[in-house]
Amino acid sequence: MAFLIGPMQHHIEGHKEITEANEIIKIGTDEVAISLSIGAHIATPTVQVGDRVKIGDLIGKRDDRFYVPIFSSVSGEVVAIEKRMSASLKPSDHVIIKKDDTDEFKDFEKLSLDASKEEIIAYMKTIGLLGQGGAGFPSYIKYATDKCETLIINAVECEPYITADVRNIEEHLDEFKYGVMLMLKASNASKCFVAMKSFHKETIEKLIKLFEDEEKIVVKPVKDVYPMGWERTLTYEVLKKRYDKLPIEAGAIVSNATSAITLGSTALSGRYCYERIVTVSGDNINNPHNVICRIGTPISKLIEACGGVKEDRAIIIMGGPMMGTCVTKDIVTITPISNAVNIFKEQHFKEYACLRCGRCVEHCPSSLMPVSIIEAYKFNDIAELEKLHVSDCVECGMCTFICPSKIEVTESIRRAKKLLAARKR
Amino acid sequence: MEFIYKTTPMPRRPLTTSKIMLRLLAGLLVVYAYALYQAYTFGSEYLINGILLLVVAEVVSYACEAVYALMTKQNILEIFKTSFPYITPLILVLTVPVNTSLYVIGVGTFLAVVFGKLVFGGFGQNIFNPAAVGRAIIATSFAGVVALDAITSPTLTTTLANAGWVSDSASFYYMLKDFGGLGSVLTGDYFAAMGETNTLLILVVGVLLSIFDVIDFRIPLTYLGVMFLGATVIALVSGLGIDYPITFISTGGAAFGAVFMLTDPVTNPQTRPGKIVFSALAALFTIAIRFLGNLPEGVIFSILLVNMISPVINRIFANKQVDSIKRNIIITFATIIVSILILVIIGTSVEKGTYKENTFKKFDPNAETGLAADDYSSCKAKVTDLGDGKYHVTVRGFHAIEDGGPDNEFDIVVKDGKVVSVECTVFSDTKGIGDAAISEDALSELVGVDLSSEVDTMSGCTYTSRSVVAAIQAALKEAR
Ligand code: SF4
Ligand code: SF4
Repeated sequence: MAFLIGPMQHHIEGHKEITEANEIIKIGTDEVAISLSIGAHIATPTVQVGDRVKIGDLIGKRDDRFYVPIFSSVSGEVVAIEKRMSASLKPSDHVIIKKDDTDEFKDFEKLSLDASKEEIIAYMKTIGLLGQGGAGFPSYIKYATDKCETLIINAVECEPYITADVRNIEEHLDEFKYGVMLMLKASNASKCFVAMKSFHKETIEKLIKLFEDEEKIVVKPVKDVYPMGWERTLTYEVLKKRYDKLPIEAGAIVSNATSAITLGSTALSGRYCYERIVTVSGDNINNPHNVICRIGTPISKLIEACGGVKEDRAIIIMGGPMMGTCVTKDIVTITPISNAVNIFKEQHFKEYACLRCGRCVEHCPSSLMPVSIIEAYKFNDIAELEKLHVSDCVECGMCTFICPSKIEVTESIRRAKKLLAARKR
Repeated sequence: MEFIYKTTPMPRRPLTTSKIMLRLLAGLLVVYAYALYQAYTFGSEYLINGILLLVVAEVVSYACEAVYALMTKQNILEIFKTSFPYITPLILVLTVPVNTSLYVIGVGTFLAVVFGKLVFGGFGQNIFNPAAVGRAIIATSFAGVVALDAITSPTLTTTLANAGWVSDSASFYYMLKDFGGLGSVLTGDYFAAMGETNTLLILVVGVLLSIFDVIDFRIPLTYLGVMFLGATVIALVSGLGIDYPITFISTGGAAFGAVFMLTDPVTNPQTRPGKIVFSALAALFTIAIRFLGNLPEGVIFSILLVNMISPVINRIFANKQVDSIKRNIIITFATIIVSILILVIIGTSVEKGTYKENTFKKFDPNAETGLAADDYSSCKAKVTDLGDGKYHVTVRGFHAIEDGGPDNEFDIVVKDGKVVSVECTVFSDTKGIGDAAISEDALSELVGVDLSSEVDTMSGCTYTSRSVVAAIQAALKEAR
């Protein structure tokens, strides 16, 4: 089939070695600004200025189509609720909490492995478990199905530079296992694959040992290509099945490895996961490292802890360099789904005329035709955009990456998507 | 710290369009180098012409781009960097014979670059392969004046075309033998367009270019594959061996067109099924033109034809590739199979041509042509050099040959290899018959003749006329 469609993926230089082996730096802060908007979720505050909160106290929630609770990552006093730029580039409410030294917890209940499917799903909802791979989809909705045959734990981390997931797994093997077992139970699947890129040889060995006694759980090394960590690509790689909208159509649930750790560690300790591991990397940072910090820590602290930038003019990307978002303020703070802060030098690529070579078509993981979409966009041809399924674009960045003429293909597709969405409304 | 806004993705694949073009250039230069070597075996003047052809073509191409840059108010150096002006002239040069005149290649390049590329808005905008445009114009408008010298050797392609492309078994094998067998055919050991002859070399370069991600191997594979399979079936039906399909795809620039011209990404569809359908149709057109039009230039014209329908093919496959995979597979394979079928039907229904042994003589650049090559040995001309370019020739006329009578005698003045005057000093043939050939008018016609001229004898007084021409030939040969 690839003979006629194209590979729909490509190897991208990972640059993972620059952070993978380094120790994890712990970053303290005396104030956090917890964003009430995480990915597409926009929550409203449930606390007021002057309130005292403990770690794990509810400070905001989304309660419309989805229920998404947001908790405090420090104990201390709410000093302000104000609009700031968030990682999604929109100004959104942030709860600013001055940290005291007590580190008091508001405990959750623990959860044993004997819990039933329903109990686990309810637990996921209580602790506000999200897909921590970037999309932030609430897990309790994903698991509320009885059609799941295969659970895929996604530890692929296909974006370049990021090593947070792998390091998180290495540091929290027991929590990871506990989380995976709970997810397996919640999914009711008969088989579970833990997918990781094959070049992490040592980690894979550790995982194989970890899951030695679990018959249903198989460690699955996958190719080092982008976007192997995307649900669709990964499901196809593991099950050789394609689906229309959600993996469950192929009988699969895909969950991120860090989500499994969050679930596992909360269930084991009964405490909210108030910190997370974040990769600080890129070609414009002096000491690239993985850091561990409270949710709500501004990225300026992370950059400072990693020795600052090399060149003064810097591009800051929240998330991976392929799909992340560029932020222009360093007061943006870490959310539960922020896995990396990548800092790059300014770059210039010589642009050529489109060769019409079709490489973007062959490599698009959604098998769209970016080159034709650009043409249709130029002519404002809405019907054509629809026919070309532009709304199925996941903005993975592959088309821009692969284009030999160095055209900003993805950016044009984003605009085309917006145009179509606006016209449809 | 200053924050710059930049949309993701940040990383870029190292492969750039410029690198792709340089790799293509390297591939083309390999073929060109072999063509020069082959030209050298013909003689150093061919080698020099082969080099000059490229020089002229490149200069014309860069000049056109420069004028275009001035006219559109763009930076000339920038245009040179982003328009890759070196590719089209090189491809064009490789599609013409090495003895093509510099004038023709210059005009051809001009037309190729201007009408094949710049009128559309330059690199990336063109609908037709520019080199194919140039080559087609040369083929149709300059057919008579292509060659630099009088040497026109029938190529294997024209020979095949004259024999009707499909011939009976005996004819085909005679033809193959005259061309030096399958080995010569594959390695291009015969006279034809510079770049098209060495099919093996072209295919090796093609494989390398595919490995280095310059061209999509599906295109040459489909194009040559369809032709090969079709020709194989025709061969089976007509009692020919595997030599037939091999010869079929090794001639007429099929391999060159497949590897270097059909693969031009600008002028072919962007989806893989599109590229395959495009190539299958190109094969079909090539063969239709060969069989039905008996034209040697099938490859060039078929490339232009599929270039034209490429946007249509693109539309057919403009969808989400994964969702339409079944439909795409069906259309693709159906096109391939139908193309082969049509090809077989045409191939087996056209009238078979014939070819007589030894009709074709291998290209020998040192062979004499025109008057020098004509055979007048029966006239036994004897030359005496009288000095100052004046020669006295005694030569056998009608009486001398028929009944041992006396010879005719001529005084001939030669200057710079050309006849200045002819005078008959002794006329021994029949008055009233032979003297038409030595009338003042007849003799003055011969002034200016040199050894490469085509000189006909007069009918009605053949013997005498032959004796005059034989005398001139002898004098000119003596004079050089
Ligand atoms: S946009 Fe880039 S990758 Fe796509 S066809 Fe054009 S040159 Fe090729
Ligand atoms: S950004 Fe969109 S169009 Fe481009 S490769 Fe990714 S999914 Fe395809």
